[in-house]
Amino acid sequence: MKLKVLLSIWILFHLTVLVVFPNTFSFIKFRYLSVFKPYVQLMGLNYAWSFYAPEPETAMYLEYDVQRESEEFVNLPTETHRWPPERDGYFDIYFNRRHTNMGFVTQRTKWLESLFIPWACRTNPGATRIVVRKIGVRVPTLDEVQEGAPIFDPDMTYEERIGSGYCKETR
Amino acid sequence: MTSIKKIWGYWDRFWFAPVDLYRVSLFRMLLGISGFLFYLPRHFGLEEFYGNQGIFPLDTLMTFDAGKNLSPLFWFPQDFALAEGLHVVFLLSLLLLACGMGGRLMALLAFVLHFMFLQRNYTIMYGADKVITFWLMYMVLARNNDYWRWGPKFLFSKSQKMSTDIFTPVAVRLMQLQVCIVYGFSGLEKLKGGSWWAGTALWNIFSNGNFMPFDMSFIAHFPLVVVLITYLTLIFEIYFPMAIWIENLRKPWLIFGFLMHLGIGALMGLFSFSLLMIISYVFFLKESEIKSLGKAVLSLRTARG
Repeated sequence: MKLKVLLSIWILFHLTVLVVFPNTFSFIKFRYLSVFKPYVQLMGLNYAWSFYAPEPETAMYLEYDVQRESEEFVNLPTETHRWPPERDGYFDIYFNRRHTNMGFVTQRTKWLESLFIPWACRTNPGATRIVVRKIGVRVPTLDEVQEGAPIFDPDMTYEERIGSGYCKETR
Repeated sequence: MTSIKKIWGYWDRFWFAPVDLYRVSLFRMLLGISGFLFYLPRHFGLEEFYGNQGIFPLDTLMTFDAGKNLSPLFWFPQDFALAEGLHVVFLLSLLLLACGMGGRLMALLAFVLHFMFLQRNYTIMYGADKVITFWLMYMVLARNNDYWRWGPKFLFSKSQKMSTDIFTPVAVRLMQLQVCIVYGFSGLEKLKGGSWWAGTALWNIFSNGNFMPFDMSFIAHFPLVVVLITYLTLIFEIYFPMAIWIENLRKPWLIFGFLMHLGIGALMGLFSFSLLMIISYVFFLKESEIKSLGKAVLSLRTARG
């Protein structure tokens, strides 16, 4: 009986965490953060429900320019790469992970600068500077496609420069 | 006093009444196999995702996170070879879990290693990773190998039929409620989006290169189908937590869910997430229904053969 009561208390607490914590705006979550947080961190329960509800009106990817300078400080041609790289066939087992990573690093400029740019520097030896742009591809509406618009139209893309940084080793 | 006793009686029956171990063992097997198939390809991308020259080096994680998201018990080896070895152990633990070896301890080992890799690089974590966290967590609670396990003489040996401990029924109920929570909240979350209200959300997914591996523009010529599937998805998710407990609605809801996940898996390439959600339906089916499903699948194979 004692074990049942103890287990019942844990069940109630666990269910409360499951319901309250993933709700980004929850008043209870912020009011009692100190109560929930250690358990949430310990068990890895800090997931938001928005994750399961995509509202994808645009497709998005990153383009980054790798700039290099020669010893004579002459700019060499810039290479442009894409992150995540284009899907490698139907069974691209890494695409979703790379795409999730792209979504993460673009949330804050600080994250882009501390995570993505250093990685781009590491994977492109000799790079002196990285310039990152977010490329959005607006999804055509049902009507537009019915009227003959292509599902991918280069004119429907827009880009926004979201960050840049120097590579430490070569600077 | 009697009403408290009555409430406790309901609570006691709901959470602690013995459950059949058939479904628990079947789920454990399916979870071990699907988890293994899901994480095996990751092994060949470990350097990129977990290496010190990869997208999120360990040193960067420790300074970047500074206790915000990481578990206080988080640990990950500096030596990449050791990390590779631990990933092999993780894959093996999933296989052994499928075979029923080690029971709860094997589930605990798989959970701890899974959690370790998940935290090591949370920038690449997506739906399937999150779902598998819960499924492994609940398998740690359940006596998951009392019914089917790898036996010395037979491939699978049956022993106990009903649970005798109090943790296994709790694990089964938490599994069921977890599925309800995932669907219910993601349905409600979708209601925040304009395209879900407009009925065109599915089109946004079909025509979005981030989600679709191939051209689905033909679907634009069937707009009513798009609207219908969008609304049905919303109804399915929002009402799942209630419908699944009503006998007349249970089967239609499970069939729709199965078809929906089949569609998500095949069209969006999210096989693992779909598979992990479908296998959880074991806990909403009766033993007789699972057996007749199994027979139907076998007879289909025999007929083809």
